[in-house]
Amino acid sequence: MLRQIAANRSQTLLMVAGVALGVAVVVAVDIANDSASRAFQLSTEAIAGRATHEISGGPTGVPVEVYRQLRRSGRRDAAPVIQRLVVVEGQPLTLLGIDPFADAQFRGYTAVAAAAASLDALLTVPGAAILAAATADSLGLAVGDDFEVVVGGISKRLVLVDLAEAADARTERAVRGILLTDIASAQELTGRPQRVDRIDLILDDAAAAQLAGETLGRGLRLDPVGTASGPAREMIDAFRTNLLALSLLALIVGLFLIFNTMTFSVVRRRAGIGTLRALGMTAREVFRQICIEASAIGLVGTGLGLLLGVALGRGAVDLVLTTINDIFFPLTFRDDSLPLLSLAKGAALGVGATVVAALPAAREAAASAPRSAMMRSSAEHSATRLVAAASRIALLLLLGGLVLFALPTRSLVVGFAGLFAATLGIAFLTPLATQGLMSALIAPLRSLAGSLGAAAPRDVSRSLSRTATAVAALMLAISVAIGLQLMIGSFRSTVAVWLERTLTGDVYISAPSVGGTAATDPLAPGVRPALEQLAGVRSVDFVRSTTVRTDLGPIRVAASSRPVYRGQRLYHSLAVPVIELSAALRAGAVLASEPLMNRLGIEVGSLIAIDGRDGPHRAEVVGIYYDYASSQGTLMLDMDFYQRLSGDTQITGAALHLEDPGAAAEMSLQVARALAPQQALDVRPNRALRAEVFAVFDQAFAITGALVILATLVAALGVLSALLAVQLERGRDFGILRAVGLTARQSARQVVGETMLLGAAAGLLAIPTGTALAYLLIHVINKRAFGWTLQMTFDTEPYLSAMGLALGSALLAALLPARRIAARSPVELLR
Amino acid sequence: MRALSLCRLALVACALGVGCTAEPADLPPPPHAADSRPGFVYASADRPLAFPGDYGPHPEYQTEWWYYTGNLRTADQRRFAYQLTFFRRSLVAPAERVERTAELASADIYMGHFALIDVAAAEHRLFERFSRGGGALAGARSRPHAVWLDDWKVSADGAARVLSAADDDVALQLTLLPTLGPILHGEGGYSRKGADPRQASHYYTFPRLDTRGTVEIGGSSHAVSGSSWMDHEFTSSGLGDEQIGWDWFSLQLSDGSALMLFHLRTRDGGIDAYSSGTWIGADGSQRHLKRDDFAIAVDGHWTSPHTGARYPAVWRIEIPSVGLTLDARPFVADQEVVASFVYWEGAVEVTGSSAGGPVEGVGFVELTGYASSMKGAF
Amino acid sequence: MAAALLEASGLVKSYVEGDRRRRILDELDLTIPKTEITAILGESGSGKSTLLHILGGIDTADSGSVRIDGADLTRLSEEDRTLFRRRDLGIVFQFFNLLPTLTVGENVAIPLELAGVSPAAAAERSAHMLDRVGLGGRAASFPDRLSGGEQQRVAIARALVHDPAVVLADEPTGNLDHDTGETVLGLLEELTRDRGGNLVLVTHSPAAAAVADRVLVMRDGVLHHR
Repeated sequence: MLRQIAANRSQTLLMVAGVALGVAVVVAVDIANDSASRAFQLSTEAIAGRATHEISGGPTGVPVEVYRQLRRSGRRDAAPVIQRLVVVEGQPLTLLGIDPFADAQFRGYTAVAAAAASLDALLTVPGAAILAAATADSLGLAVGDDFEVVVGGISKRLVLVDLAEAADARTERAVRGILLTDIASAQELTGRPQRVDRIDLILDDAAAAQLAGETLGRGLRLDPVGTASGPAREMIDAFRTNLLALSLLALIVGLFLIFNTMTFSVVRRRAGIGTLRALGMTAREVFRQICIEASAIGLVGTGLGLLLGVALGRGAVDLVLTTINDIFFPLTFRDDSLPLLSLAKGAALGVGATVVAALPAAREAAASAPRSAMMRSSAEHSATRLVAAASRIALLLLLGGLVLFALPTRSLVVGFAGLFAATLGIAFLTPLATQGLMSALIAPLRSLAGSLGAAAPRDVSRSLSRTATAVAALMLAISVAIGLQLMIGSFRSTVAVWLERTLTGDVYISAPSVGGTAATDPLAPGVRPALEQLAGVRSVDFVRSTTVRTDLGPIRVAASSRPVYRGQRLYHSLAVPVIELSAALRAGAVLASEPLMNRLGIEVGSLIAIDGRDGPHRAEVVGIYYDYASSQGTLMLDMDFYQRLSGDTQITGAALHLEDPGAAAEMSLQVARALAPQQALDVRPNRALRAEVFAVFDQAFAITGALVILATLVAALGVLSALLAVQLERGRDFGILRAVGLTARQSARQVVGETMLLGAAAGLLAIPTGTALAYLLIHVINKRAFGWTLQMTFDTEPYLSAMGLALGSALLAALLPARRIAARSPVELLR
Repeated sequence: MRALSLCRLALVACALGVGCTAEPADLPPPPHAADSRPGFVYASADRPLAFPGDYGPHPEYQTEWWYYTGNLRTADQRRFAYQLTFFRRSLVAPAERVERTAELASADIYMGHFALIDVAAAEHRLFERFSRGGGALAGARSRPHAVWLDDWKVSADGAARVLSAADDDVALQLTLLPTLGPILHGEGGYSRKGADPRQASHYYTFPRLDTRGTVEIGGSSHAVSGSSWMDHEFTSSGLGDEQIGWDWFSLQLSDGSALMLFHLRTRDGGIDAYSSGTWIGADGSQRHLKRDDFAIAVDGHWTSPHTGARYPAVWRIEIPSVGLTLDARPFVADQEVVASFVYWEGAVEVTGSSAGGPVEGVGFVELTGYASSMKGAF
Repeated sequence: MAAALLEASGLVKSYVEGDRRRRILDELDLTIPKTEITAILGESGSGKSTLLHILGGIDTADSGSVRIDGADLTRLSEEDRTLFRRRDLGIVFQFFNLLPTLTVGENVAIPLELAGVSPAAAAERSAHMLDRVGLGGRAASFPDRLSGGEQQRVAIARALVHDPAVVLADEPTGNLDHDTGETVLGLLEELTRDRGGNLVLVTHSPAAAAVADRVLVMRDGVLHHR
């Protein structure tokens, strides 16, 4: 029967392409996800090493005295660490300042540094640094070279004293993102000569409890390793779940295609199968034959899909890593090794799914009795049966989706499961809906194009058993396009409104952030007075962005010199009137952003114990405000209060309110130039900052768009495949029409017209589906994944472009069948 | 003295990867070529030692060590011995150092060796540590005197020295009271090690410190008393080209006298002319011993199962000028220090005669340059 | 014999069967007058259907000519042949070949609509034609609701509705039982005579040939008079 494959080359090619694309998308996303996961793991674990706990001291770091006391009291499983994101030649690296004498038991690879011939230089030459050989190579540096490093916008010079040669591949990857220096050099680079960022420890729980009790306090904190990156990890996981769900969508669309084509291939060969059955082939043998065919197609398609997936994966890795870097967590590590597991998963999924999708067809073929298999099936009958069966499944899926959404959980996976169920449910309603739509179209089309016009929707209905799956797949892909576009559009407009209200300054100043991550590098001490003395400035607001320790874990704070301005911020809920907010914050109350509320489950009136230099301060949450700057959530404090609480007087950002807002651009240039000798700063006019926010925003959704396009492509292949099938079946009809005088061109037009009806059906059905999808994405998925409330806005653009996509892909799919119909002579068609 | 510990610090540097790859016997280069690091001061006869200032560190000399060894006994005569040594090495001479703001910046590396010998169990437990000098994580000072590395430390309590060190299940807490000294070796503490006058160290000793305290091993604590020996030495030069190692002796005798001797072994199997010693009388009088004033004969050997090195294990020492004939043998054969560099440092018991009368004693012997298996290890 | 309307001469058509060519039509000549029923008898596979397809312009000959009103059908483009069929040809197939998604009325109206008749006028003429074949009340039915004989009557209505110059019927009774076949054949003959038109009837049944004015036998790729 393998000859059957050869006989229907175009059908087979389409099936192979469908499997290949589906597998490719899943594999590409999986590779990207896996790479993101490993990058994150490397970025956190490579640096944490074997440490179990860490002592940290909030934004001001840990005094050396604390470390000295640990060592002098005999605790030798402790190592001081300074860790910063820095930039060398535009490349972000993690500056890791360590003590070579204490570090070997924590990070094996730093022993490489300690054993280097250059240990004395590392210790005695200020700014002596070690890089991985590959990193030095990519930066064009050789041992002995000095080079510039930008630490928090301030340029420093380092000298490369040695290259780290890693012992194994994993170490090599870990070391690649690291700029290793002695702890003393790192103290000097970060401008905090008496402090380190943290002390890593190897402790069992008892020792940890004891240590926490005896030596800490005074704003210091002992936490298990990973506490700091925990929230970021959650966010990245949510992001990855989103991508995974989208990639599965592409596969599902691919499966529809396989199911469709296999089923049709069986139907078409009924006569042959019937004959074979009559000649003595058993049902089991028929079943096996079909499964073997499907496996062959699955294998070839999967093989191609893996190749394509790896190629696509390379691009996807970039997109995903950049997004994570920009939004969630600075990644300076990268592991480009090919994840064999991803390939294995893709292979299993591809072959398995193909066979599963072919099972109904195989069962149908095997179940047909020898005689009835030889008879022509009644198209109308099977169409009616299909509509009824599909509608029953649709009902079940929709009910399942409802139940999943009703579950009292914040689980993203459950949310996606509900979304899938609901979407598939609607997809299964496609035959019914298409039928209804076509009936409604008969009369208008008759008056428009006569009998042939009336025939078109009837033909579509009649061929539903062949085309419904394709229409459903196309509908699915297009509704996802609508849903995502609406969601992204709503997101964008929500952010735009929020920016409008939040970015009230005319010029914004911050230290350059590495890889777009929120700036927490302080402004140089001289910046503040310089800004306050600027002419043409009405007022200056300052902010300190950093992370503080609380009883609820580390939380990002923004301590603002003017946390409440003109009551413009959008509040979710408030405990006091807006006019009393400023006073409340000055007295030590705090505002929490909406994502923080969702993440920590806090509300207005909750108390958060924030670590201060004299112990924890129990701050009351007096308001929840909408904020889209961070999906981890932010705590807003009054700056004066924060400084008293923490002793941290550094600032990380400033906003200038100008006397003449129109002069923002010139003022930005002027400020940047004036401050350049002190610190290279990002000085941006309001408008540029806003543009940057949107650039990052759009970039974050770039991969989403790519996935939707791929899914639509798969769906268009499905339509093409279905049409080729239908065309084979309807050749006779066209033969008759040609015999009674329909020209070749007219028959081509008829094919195109009927296909456009299919496309229009998919597009029209996708409108309500896509809208529902957008609603679910916005109110369930986004909320669960990121904690953001978005205002749903409706734009005609997504609908129009979706309709265009539907018709366009239908047109594309119709071209080949139309040409084939036109090219064949009437007598060939009649045969 | 441990003059030749010079080499040892060079080896420390090796262990830390500081620019050397040669095997111990090849180290260090001769003084004139010795140090590419400029600015260090060489030992000189013109520099008298003065206390308590010279109890502290001397950063202008490249290497320095404080060396405590002792033989101890419990009330029921169970024998222990210990070694607690602090080495300092300067990476940059003070004059060459750049101003650093970082509290943890350091131009000194400290290394510590701590050993406890349980004679009854024939057990030698050794611990080794390194630290930077910066941030006062390790260091030394003269007034009040202290030397420390993490929680290993020596501090002054009046005239007494308090030692404490612990690691794993081994600990030591001792109070040492000097009954003699400081004794200055060589010419007022200027101790020659080679033909080049710079090939020398400043070297003084407390040859007899009454010691009391506790040692802990394997979970049990023992009150002990006995006698300790302390050396402090600083220099900027190392072994000469032809010198491959040394045999060094610090002995405390029952008649109240004490003895420091060292043989510098040369590549051709001979004994270097600058080998020397000091005899210290019970009253604190001292006599400088030149190469030809004493003889050390080896009567037996021990081969290390750890490194394969073959060490001398029984000695007969003869010093005709003071009428001394002594036989020394280790309490425990295996007191090899297998650390960043390998040597043998062990407690010995001594029997013999002094001016015709019988005499006995205890002491420590240090043997270096035997572990040729070290070759290529760094 | 009446004046010739359609004149085929020297028609050659061969097919490749396995590794040899078989000539189905071998220099075949045929003249069809304006008003005559011609029956072409032949065994299954004798090439009579092929001849019919070539005469109707839905297949082409390897060589030879088919002239109608002086124009050579074999030299026309596919497009022009289609226009010829639309205007001047009615065709009845063995398997009825009604379009399943068009109603009976629409099936009959299709040739008119293709010829540019307005849908309303076409529907009227279609209804009239259906009256003629005795299916006046069935215009709104779909073909699958009709019996075989009824379907063939619809096909006849479709073939004649636009008053074509040439009517071809390919085994019109081949798929019907004997009595129904008789009825259909009778209807076909009656309508042809009524309109004073012609009919080329291809059949393997000598009984069916009884309605013909002239019976030709197809043998070895050429026609022989019986």
